[in-house]
Amino acid sequence: MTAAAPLGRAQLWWVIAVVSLAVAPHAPRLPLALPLCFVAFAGWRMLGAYGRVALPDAANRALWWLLQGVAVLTFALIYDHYQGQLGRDAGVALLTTLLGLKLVELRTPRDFYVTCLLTYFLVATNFFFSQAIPTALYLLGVTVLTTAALARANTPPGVSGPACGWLAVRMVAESVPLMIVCFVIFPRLPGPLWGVPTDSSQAITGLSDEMTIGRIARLGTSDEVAFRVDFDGVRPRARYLYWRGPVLWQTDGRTWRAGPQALSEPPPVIARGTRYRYEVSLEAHGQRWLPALDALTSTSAVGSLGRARELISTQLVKRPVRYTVESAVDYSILEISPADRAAALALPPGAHPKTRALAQSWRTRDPAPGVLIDTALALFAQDPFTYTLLPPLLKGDPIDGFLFATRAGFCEHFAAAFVVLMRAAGVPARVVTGYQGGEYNSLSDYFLVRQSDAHAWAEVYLAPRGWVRVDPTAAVAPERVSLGIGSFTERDGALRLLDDKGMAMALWRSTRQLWDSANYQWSRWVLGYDVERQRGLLESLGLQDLSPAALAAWLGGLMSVPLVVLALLVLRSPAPRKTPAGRAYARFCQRLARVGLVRAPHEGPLEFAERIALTHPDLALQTRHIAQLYALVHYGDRGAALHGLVQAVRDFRPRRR
Amino acid sequence: MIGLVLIGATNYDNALAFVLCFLLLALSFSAMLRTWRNLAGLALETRGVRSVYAGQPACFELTLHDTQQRVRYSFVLRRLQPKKSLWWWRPKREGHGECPVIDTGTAPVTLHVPTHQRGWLALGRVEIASRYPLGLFHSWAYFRPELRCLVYPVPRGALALPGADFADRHAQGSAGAGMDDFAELRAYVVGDSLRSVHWKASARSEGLLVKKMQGGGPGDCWLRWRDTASLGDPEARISQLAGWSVAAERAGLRYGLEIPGLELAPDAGLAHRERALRALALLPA
Repeated sequence: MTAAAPLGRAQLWWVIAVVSLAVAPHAPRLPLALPLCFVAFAGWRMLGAYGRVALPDAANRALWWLLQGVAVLTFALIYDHYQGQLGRDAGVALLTTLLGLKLVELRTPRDFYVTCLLTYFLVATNFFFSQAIPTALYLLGVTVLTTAALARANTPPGVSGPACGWLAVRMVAESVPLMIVCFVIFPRLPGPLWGVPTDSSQAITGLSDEMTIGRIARLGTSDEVAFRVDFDGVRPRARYLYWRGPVLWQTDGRTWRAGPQALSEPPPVIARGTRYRYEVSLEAHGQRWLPALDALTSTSAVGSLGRARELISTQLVKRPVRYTVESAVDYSILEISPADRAAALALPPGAHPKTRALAQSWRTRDPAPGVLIDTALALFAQDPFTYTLLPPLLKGDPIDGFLFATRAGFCEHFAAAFVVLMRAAGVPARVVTGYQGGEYNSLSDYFLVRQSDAHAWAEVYLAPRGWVRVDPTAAVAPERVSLGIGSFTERDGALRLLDDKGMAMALWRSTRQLWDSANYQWSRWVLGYDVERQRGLLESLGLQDLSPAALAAWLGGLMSVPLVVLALLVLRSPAPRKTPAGRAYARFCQRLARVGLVRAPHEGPLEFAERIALTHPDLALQTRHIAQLYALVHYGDRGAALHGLVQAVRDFRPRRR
Repeated sequence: MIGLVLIGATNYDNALAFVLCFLLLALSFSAMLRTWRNLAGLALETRGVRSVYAGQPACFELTLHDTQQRVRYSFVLRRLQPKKSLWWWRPKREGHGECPVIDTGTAPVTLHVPTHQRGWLALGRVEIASRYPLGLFHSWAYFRPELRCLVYPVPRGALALPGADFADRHAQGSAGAGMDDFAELRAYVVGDSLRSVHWKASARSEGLLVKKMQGGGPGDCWLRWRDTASLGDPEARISQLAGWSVAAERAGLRYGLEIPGLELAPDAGLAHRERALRALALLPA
């Protein structure tokens, strides 16, 4: 491309296409006006290229001012929409707008290069929002196409668009080894470099750290991944898979909260039998709880133990975390401090009068805690209590309403009602929320726990045994606990269709497991590769105790290997085949050589044709025609000439005289 | 650009942004190697050059010769101006020649170089550069082809062409005026003025015949250095003489040139005009 040549339409199409593809994933995240503006800008430029509308330039001051006006308005809109906070979201909005404006003013090759490089950056900004496999594949495609757009601008028009695409694919492919090595060993700085602003627009789903009775079942049907667990060696049986999240002590009658953490050490645990070691890969949920099996026998660097031996993160979980802990399912926690005992017996004064009266009547009959628990569970099992994900709304006192009026609810209702009954009867109790069960993925040997596995249960303190888990939901709907939430949603009719076709169901399940397995490995090995993992890798290579200079030398040496590989790939690759026109022309020269007319090495096609025309006037017409077509393919802008050239060479049969 | 992505990736601790960053790094390395490889193994050969008037671009005809028989793309040729001042480190580039593709072993390329003054224009150093495949890198090489272009003075001037001068004719002792200066017919050679073709005789014979004149004919004139004295500036005088030569040739006249140190006998034809222009181009300032 010459230095100051204006951009051709083909180049314009390429650059507008790649920028649009890079902007597209951002579109739903931006205020509606911005994507619309972008489309308008791109359309304006394209119509302008075809002479349908005027473009803002020196000759069109009015349009130029209009563009400035639109730009100022858009910036004002961005400022207003993001409240003047230049975070990730506002930055992307600004970048998108600037690129749109740049499209209108695309004129010189320099504009073209700037736009292409900004497109690469825009691709990177997409990763700040999503790092899922489909996103990554899509953006890889955009990267290749952007490279192809650059290649298009630097190859003569005789080379076809797909050929430029293949060149880009090839170049990206041969860059992969160096990329991988850089990714693994390039020294990472522990981020963030500046404060990562809290963008309010990002919604994180997950278990809340409080629980309000009577709210509709929202988690019940969400298939989103909560966390995955990889057991190191043996895994516990399904009935022990109670993943404890927030432990709720305080209640105001309707809402349950964790309450303040005690300053003292958490109560010690006496573990018996197997200790299960497992790695939890938790998705971001914006809270501080970290799920773990009870009872934890170890802790982790990412968090500390709470007053109920639950694991609490040192900071809000705003990005996926991974931690390894150890639990025992056969255990005793015997210690209970006076403060904990008081907290586990507290009920809001005046609340739940009917429930309290019922508990009092049980207590006067038999005050033994074990008997009280059995009586409560028997109540749930025998009376017309039903388990449903869509309970009626509770008016008035929610616990009284649930126990004496509606008698239909899900785990939260049963757990809260049970704990209130226990406290009213004088047995220390607390509500535990978390997840129960999980889907075992046999492909990669891990458990997948979804948001729909969210559960709530109770823990009571029995004098000789210590804290004991009681799941009141199991009394009313044992299959909820043994089969998981899926059995309920299916029975409710949502998935009946698949239920009828066992084969389809099995296929669906294995496909889903395969996909989740891929996602797990992806997030484990690619997305989760961070400063700590890198340090671990360097340690395993024995490079941890080196001086910075020696480390740099090592890393440089390691990186030079793929560098040399790349250089060899590029430089030693077989010579590119001739262009189609070159092939046709070579055939033409071959046929002439057969009749004794050999092209001199320094003879250009036109000169050669003229020489033949002089010495062999019978061939003059054809040779000149072919030479002109060949020149037209390469120096003109006509694809049709290529077809003519191939045809003419095919018909060219010189005979020896 | 890559740095920006790296900073963003570090700040947000974003694995895929790191991936993209390193992919771009490797990609630019690959592009760099390819750009170099596109140029490596090329030879430049000279073919020829045509003389031009000052102000017109000089056309240096070159051939790019590929010693490795590969397909190569998008070359731009430029001439490096000879270094003029000490502090101007980078020589200025001028002129332009393009070669979009080499896929038959050789490719012709014409380097157009702007001209400003009469005389020899040595091509000097030529830079051949390519940005293929991505335009992000620039590979270049210098050649010094032994090629020079003769730049004729600009044919320009307001003075009227000195007409047929009787005194001159008499001084040369011509056989007289009228039609009898026509001596004989000879075969047409390239460069002869079409006005001197004897069309009637040509129609009867195989090729074109040209009237051969003897001595100062009616169109005979002298273009003299001293006749331009009124212009003062020597360059303007040279331009005037060049302008006269061109005008006289166009008018089909026979003309002689008389400049300091050189005298060309009256003649006609393109070859004669070129002789005259050459003499004017090389006249010491």
